[in-house]
Amino acid sequence: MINFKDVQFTVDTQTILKDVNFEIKQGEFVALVGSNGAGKSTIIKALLGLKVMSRGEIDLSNQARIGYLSQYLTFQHRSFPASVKEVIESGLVGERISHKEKRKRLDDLLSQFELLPYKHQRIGVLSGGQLQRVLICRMLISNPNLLILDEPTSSLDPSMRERFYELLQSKHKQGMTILLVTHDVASIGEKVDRIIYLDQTILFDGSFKAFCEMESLTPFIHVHERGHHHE
Amino acid sequence: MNELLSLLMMPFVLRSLLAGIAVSISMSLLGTFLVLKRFSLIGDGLAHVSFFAVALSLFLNETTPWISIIILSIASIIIMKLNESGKAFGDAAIGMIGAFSIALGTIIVKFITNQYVNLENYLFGEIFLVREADVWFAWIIAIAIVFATIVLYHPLFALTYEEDFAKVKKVPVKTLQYGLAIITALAIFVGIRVVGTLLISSLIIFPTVTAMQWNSSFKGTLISSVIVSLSNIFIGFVLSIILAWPAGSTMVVVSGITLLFVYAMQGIKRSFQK
Repeated sequence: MINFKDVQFTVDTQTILKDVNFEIKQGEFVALVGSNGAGKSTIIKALLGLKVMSRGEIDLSNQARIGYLSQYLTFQHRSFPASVKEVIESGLVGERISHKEKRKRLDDLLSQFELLPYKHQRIGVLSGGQLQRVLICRMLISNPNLLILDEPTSSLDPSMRERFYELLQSKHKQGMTILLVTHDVASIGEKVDRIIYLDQTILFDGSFKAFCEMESLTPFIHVHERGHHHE
Repeated sequence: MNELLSLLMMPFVLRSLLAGIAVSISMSLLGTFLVLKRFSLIGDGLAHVSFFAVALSLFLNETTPWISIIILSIASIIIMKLNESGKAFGDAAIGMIGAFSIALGTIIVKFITNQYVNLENYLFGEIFLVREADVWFAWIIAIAIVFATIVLYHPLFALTYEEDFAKVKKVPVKTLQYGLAIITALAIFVGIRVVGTLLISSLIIFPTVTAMQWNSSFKGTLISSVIVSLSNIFIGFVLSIILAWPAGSTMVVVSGITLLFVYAMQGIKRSFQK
């Protein structure tokens, strides 16, 4: 579904990505991990067509219907005068579906994510976690088959985070392809098919078990595990 | 009251009012997208550019609107480009182009020999001097903007709320942004007849900011900003006739007072809810 071939990205003289090669097959659940500034977000932006790479090839299957969730909740996300309903429905932009179907999908998602009482509320009154759930609903409403998630759990509390991971797992079982950028290797590791560890280039690509056995990488897991508990 | 009504029915007053209504519809609809996209100062920048365009037209003794329209459209595209490239920050880009245009315009004015030119009309607007052609043009622009807002509502919402998300959803972001910039240039061209170059950005900013105070939906904000704008323009217009105040300035003062009033009411409402 996704194929990166010899991808390179440089800004001025600084190398952000070099010789990035990896493939994600349909139905795979892959975690992309690495320290801050390792180039994870650049890979996501390249994949989404938001950034043009300096060299290399990125293939994305024609069948891919992307659902995308971004990393940060900005001031714009909160201060904008829009209702929960409007933001979620904006995930359907450019798609032709009936009003009835639209309403059904919306109500299903609202109840699944415990947002029904907020349907007509302004997004500004929501908490960070609630707003993040609204954006998750916006991603899911178009029934995507490929989820691209850039550190989506940053605003969720631990129990919501756990539920979000369970949701990803169940979507994965239904055949969804998922690329998840995360710091949270410790809690997601068991659930994914593969881990890709990136630091400008790909240093590891394999199972969580093999990842844990890589001695050079264990500090990374533990550092982030600790960081996670501090939040 | 009857006196006021018969005054409002006088052809030149009616003409000005019709122009004012069209301009307020255009500006408030555009304003909602521009303000929420943090791009409201494009109005200010383009208004400054229009001062240069007007000065140039007067200097060339040219009465066709094309010089202004072309200059404004080019300026709006340049501002968009600068904003996009990230080489100059959007607001800084607008500030620079605006100041440069005013300076250039002022120098050109020095060379205008026609003594009947009254620059004040361009700075503060003179709604009572609008011609029939201006009214037509204002309504064509207003109808085009209403039509575009209805047809492109969902892509425009997605783009205004989160550009990257809109791009991922294959919304033609660039085309829409440039379209928005050019139609803003055209709307400003007619708008300066009503409130002048110095006050035009108020027609873009005040209605949206006022409507945002109490609406919880985007659609509500959009519709309310048009209603707020129409009411501001109408009240300002009537007051300016009664008090013999400059029309454009009266409209802007009314807009400011409306915003303060709504803001205060919201504050009172919140304190009761606590």
